[in-house]
Amino acid sequence: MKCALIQQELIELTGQELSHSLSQHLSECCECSSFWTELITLSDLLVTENFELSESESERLLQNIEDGIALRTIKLVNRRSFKLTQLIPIAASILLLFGINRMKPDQNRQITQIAETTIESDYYEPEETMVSELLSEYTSYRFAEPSETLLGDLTDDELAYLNDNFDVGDIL
Amino acid sequence: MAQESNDRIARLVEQAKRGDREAFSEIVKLVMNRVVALTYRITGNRETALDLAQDTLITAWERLEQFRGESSFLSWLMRIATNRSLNHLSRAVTVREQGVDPVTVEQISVSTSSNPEKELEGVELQQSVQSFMSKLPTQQRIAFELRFYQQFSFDEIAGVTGKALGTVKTNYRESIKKLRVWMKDKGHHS
Repeated sequence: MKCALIQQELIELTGQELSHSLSQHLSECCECSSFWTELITLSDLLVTENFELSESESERLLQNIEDGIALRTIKLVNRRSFKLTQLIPIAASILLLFGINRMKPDQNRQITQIAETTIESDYYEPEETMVSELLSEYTSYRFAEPSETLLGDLTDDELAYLNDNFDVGDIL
Repeated sequence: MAQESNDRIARLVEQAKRGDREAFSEIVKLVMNRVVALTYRITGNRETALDLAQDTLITAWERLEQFRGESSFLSWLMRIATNRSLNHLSRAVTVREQGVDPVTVEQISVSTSSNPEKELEGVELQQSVQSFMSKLPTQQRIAFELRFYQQFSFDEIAGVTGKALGTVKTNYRESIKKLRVWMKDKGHHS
């Protein structure tokens, strides 16, 4: 039973180094020792079958891999730049839309605030005496000689036209 | 020696991850023979094996950022190679249909030797081994290639193939048992 297990372990170690305990067992057991010798012969036989690339194959493979990597890198760069050219306008559109949507309420709020402030600051009720004084001052100054004021505003051509077509005294 | 090689590959991988293509070329030079050996053992055709190895190494470059170093780089690479080769097999070609790879024979026959008789014997033996190996089930071939030729641990092979440790060990043992029988049938005794 022990040898069966050991031989199973020996199979797993074909082509490998033996542990000290296994070597110890082989030195004491003819059956296992002969089994191991057989595995060494098999191992030596199989080693001749080990795979080796020829020089031309190695060169060709290396070159193909270099070319393949270069090609994939170019494709990757193109794909990235293609994505960028597609994404930039989309991103800009999204930003614009979100920007406007986000700005609208702000703007409305600002406008409302300005209006409220303006109404509040502009609105005040003057005293009655003050109004009277202002009216009297304005009337006395601006309309003391209304005809002069009016005629003074007219150009020579307009005055000539009025003289020709209307009786200015009646109008005044 | 193997550890030294692994350390060197690990350093080169770090450089390659930063976009250093020359470092990756160095890695390719170090590992390509082993990758082709595996793809060849799975497919049984040299040209297909070269194509699959090429595909594996280009894919490795593309996915280098995904390699987190949880296994060795070689194990990670072998996993890609195994998956590619198995996909290839499942798509169309079976090893049994292809038989002995003529390129292998051609390559050996053109090489010069001081002992042509011995060389011919070697060629015949090699053909015979390859022919027999191609008849092994795929998972046994993979386990055998990775364990015997590439010196992977069973744990690593389990990681590469995605199979349980026990299954991997069984596959390897079965391949050895069959090869022992083949060796006796061919009259190769110790």
